[in-house]
Amino acid sequence: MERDAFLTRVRSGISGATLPPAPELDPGPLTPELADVDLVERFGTVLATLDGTLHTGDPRAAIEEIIAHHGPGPLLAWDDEHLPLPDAVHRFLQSGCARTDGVVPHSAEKRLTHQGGYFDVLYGLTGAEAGFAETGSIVVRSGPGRPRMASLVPLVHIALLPSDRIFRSPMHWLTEHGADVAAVANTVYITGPSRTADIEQRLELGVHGPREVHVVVIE
Amino acid sequence: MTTSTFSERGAAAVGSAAAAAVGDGARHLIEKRAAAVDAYPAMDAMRDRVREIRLHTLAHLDAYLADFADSVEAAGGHVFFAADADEANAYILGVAGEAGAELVVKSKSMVTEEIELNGALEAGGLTIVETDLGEFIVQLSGDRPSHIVAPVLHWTKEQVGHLFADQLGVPYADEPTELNQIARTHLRRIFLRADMGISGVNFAAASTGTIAIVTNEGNGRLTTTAPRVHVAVMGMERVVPTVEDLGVMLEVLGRSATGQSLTTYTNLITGPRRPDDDDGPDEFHVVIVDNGRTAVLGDEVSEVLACIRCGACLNICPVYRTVGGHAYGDVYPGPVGSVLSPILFGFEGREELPYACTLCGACLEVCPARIDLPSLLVNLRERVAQEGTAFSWLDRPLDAYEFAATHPTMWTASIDGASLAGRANRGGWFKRLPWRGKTWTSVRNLPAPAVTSFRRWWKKHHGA
Ligand code: SF4
Repeated sequence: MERDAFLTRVRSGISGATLPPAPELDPGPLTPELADVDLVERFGTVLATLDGTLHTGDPRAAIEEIIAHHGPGPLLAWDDEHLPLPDAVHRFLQSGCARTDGVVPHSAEKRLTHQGGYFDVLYGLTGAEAGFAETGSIVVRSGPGRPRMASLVPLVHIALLPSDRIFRSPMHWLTEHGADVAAVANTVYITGPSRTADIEQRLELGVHGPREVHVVVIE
Repeated sequence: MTTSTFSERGAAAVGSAAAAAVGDGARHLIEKRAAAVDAYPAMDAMRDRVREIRLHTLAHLDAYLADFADSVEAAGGHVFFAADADEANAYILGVAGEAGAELVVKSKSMVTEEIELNGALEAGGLTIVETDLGEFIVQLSGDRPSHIVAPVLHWTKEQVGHLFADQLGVPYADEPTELNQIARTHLRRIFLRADMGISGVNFAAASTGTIAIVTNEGNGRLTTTAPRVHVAVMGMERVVPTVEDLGVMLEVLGRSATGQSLTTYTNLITGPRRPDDDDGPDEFHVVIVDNGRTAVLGDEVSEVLACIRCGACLNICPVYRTVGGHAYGDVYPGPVGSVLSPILFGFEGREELPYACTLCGACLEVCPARIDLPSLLVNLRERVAQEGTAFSWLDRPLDAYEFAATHPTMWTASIDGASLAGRANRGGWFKRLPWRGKTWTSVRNLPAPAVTSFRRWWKKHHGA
């Protein structure tokens, strides 16, 4: 249907409507009132309840511990310049991980071949724009050198989060940084590992996305 | 919609293993909701904001849809306005044709079920794969979903094991961990070579053209990232003014649906892959679907369009818990479906839906948009009664309603489900329900009734 005809029809629907009175929107703050807490501590506690892990302390040691646990494997990582720890990628490579190129070609055929290579990715290494203490979530934004797939296809996702980027709740971040959302094609809030409870309500991790989410705090 | 009636389907379902599983699942979800709401002191304030934003947007829906379309186009996406299911399906087929698509992956979406998109695309020669684990099971088996957020509440793990063994050629397994692994491997191959991804839209922000798709599994992200074309299909009422308003919806959605403060993946998409981006779809289309919604907008029950599809009203509903989702006959079950379906798809064959309700008020108590479902159902009952539609089982159309109104103590005394079932038979209340009282005796565990909310509701509406 033509846009104008569609919208005219919608307008006619509204004019006959018996919607409850709709006041103009309250211009007051949309941020929920929540008690003050230690942001890093709350973030870690909530993330743990979601089966994710927060690493404070020496970030390099945390990375090495993760690699030691799973062994070397294919890595999909953001470019160094977008990571708050300059030698993070290097640590993986040094441990014998092979880096997979994150730039997906445009041509249909090359795209298929390239993405076929994502089947076995073990590690995904990304930055994080923000963290939410209330929900244990991180915000990950796509862009050049910041492929979306790095936080999606691997079995183990490691996100590097600067400690001063932890906000009280999603709305605390959004009311300050709302413009950042649409400034890129994809912004995602990631709240723990991929999960499902579809079969008999039993929780299972890693059904499509990562099975492990490690948030490494960078001071 | 099948040709049987709600009461026939309901009577057949009561006491079945499938309906019992749905009941158990729904109870579990509503307990998780209660815990999440308790842990979040701002819930009530946020529900007020949700209601205000939703009603405001609906009152200016044409303007916000125009804004939204402009914003999507400014971000490099395409927008199509579909008056009905046929137009929507034809457009999507056209997009697939132009892109030379053959294999299509889908993430769970109610509106695509409503417009029967899968059938239309398959008729056009495309292969469609549902990727939400529950929907994947539903699709493989040819079954139908039983719940808005948990489509296979009615399946056992053994049934899933046999299905996978038969359909995917894998060895039989019945451990959920193994079953998940089988699905992950099978679907991952499909994701990475699919040509087109089709998603729903939970919310859309008019000012930026951003759409939100929430999933727990990550299939929503894969569907919208791996294929070179992404088509998002949305009911036209999904829009809100800004990204911040969209954030307010997210504050209540996960908590109300599954008791999660946020669903695992909240995917916010603004247009296709940008020129220098590493990955993402090259094409992005949004299909805005009316398909009867304008009629709802002009109806006395228009408030129902404020719904954010959390499923809480299903989970709390004693009727839904007893008969399961299929008895309702349409895509949208439970209290919200009983209001929406008759207006969206027509009263014929759906006259009983407004009566599939004890008017206990529990749905209003949990609804994050504070939609007054009991009043809307009463409105529809009055209209059904006025139409003079034959209801041989109803001596007077409002009997159940009046009884509930004059016997609030029944709820107070009904915490013990068994005693409720006994009383209900004696009191004759449930005899007024379509399938008559006797089947209710098999109900062992009715929910703790929302006595206070019912009284409050009654007072507000009747000044008693
Ligand atoms: S009517 Fe309310 S409770 Fe029911 S699904 Fe919609 S938003 Fe949720």
